[in-house]
Amino acid sequence: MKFIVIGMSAICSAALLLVNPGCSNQQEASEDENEVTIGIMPKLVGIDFFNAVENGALQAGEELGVRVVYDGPVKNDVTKQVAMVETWIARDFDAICIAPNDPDAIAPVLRKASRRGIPVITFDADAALDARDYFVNQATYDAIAKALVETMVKGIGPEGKYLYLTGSLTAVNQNIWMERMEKYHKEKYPGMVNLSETPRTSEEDQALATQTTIDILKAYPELNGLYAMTSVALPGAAEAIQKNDAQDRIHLTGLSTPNAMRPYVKNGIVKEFVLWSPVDLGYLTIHAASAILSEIITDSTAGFDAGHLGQIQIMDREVLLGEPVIFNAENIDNFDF
Amino acid sequence: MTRIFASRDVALTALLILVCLAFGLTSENFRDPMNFLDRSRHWVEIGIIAIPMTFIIATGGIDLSVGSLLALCGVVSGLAYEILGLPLPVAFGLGVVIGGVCGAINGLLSSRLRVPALVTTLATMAAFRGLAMGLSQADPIRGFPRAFTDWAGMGAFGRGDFQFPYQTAMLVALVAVGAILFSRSLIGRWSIQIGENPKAARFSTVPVHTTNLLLYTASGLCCGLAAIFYTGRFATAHPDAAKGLELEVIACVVIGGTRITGGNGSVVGTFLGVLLLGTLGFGMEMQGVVQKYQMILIGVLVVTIATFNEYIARAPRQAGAQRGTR
Repeated sequence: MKFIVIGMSAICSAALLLVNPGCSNQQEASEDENEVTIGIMPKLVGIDFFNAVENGALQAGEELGVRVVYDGPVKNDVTKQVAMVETWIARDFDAICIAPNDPDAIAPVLRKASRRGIPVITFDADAALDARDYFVNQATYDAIAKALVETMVKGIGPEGKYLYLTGSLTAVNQNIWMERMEKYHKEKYPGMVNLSETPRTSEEDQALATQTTIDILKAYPELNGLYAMTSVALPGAAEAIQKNDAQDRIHLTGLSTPNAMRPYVKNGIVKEFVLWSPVDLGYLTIHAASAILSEIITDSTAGFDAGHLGQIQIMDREVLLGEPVIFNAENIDNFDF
Repeated sequence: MTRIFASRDVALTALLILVCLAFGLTSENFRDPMNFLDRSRHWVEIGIIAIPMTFIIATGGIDLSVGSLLALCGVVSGLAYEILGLPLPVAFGLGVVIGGVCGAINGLLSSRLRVPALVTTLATMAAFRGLAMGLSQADPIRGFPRAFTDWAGMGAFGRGDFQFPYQTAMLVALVAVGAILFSRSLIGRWSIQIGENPKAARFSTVPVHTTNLLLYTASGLCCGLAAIFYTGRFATAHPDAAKGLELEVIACVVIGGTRITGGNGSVVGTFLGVLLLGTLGFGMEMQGVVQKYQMILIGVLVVTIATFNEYIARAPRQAGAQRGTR
């Protein structure tokens, strides 16, 4: 009996010794009681987009002199996020920023945080409206729509014929963007013609996007421009244009990440495409959290000064990152996500 | 002579106290009992299901379908509430019944078909998950009332500085019932006899089939019960819920001293296993240990404790055998 207890104790102590080196660095930092700690949680860790968010967040933390803890689940699993937020509440974090994987499943734990007086800020994706204080909106639907249309007009002029290639017909963000784009076309460029009322689909599958684009090129000989509305549809479509050597005939633009588009921008298949900057998104999220804590942002605030991003607008409890970024051959190498 | 508290349980308790001391000395947030009790909500589902799992593993069986079944029960309850418009308690009652029925299917398959439970419950693990996906069309069911999600996520006995979560209290009560059943009732004795030697058990008039049927049905019922709290905590009935839960449950049972090959077991030990893994996870998170290191450390601990358990289980038998030969 005694032997067993002693033996187990020995192993346990050894295990705890193993734990301690792993956390000693963070431990020292968290010992300082007065330091403000802001937690920022992505949908998942280890992908380019959120790594870029992390960079921006840490940069903002350094500027503001607050401790920023960036951690999240290894898969996009909302239950893991709930457990981690619970932990952050128990560790007395001063503010919690999160990109939830499910707006409703995350809501109870966020309300628990609010009840303890911890400000909750969502970014990238929103939670149930009553479960968060502010949502950092990467770019308004109208701003994205405008940027896409203007990019297209630069290529095919105000009289061109165009088509949409989307993910699935039920993709919410894409549908709203296309609706706003149609509205913008009608108001500002009434001479432009949409060749297909129903957008073509690629189901978040890059190979399918390539195939569909090849079909489109055959079916619509009069086509001038193509909008690819998802981050996989655009490189898929670019591949098809490259294969068919159609870059002089078709002006392709859309939404995607610089890492996926770099080869096609470098060889001139795609001149310009649109997205928001995840670095700025992380940077702004931490700035907003810090401003809420220091009561620079209150219920009646319409804007605040967010470091190098300058004056940032707040509307309907949404912090607006503002204009999307337009990527082209000149600036694409400044981005890595 | 079976006792409610085996000597192994004392050793596990000592280890648990040591872990608490070590974390308590280094982390202020760990010392706050409210934090700790609030956190216990996370282990309750594992704990509830681990009680029947202890009996099942004692018979030499296993139930791999528990995570999938929890998801299925949640989805059925959610659909009953949202589409059939049943009152919430009735909807979750239906979920528990479905859990029992699915558990009985597990019991019948494992016992009557003479296919090892490892294989049959592996099959039902896939089947139940598929059913949950199909019924919900892979779309989580939302729209549960706030009162319910607050009850599962924040409801507790006591107010202000001391709050004991409802589900933790229920787990403690269930553990007490399970521990008494295991060590003082026929069903506990039968489980061990089946695990030691199924053939011998059948010849000594142990109702092997009935015992199996009862145990797997109980496992299903507990999945249904756990689904209530799980669904409440996440405010959604997700067909993807509780993936990998079976592994955590089995780890707790094994840490508690039940041999994976059957023939012994302890419900109190299993509960200590749940507490130990839960406390370790909580303590490490309070220390800011990142997830991947936590997983490595828990793996090392499970192997070490299982080795110890095996050593203890063998030691008295060898001593007896030696005495016999002399």
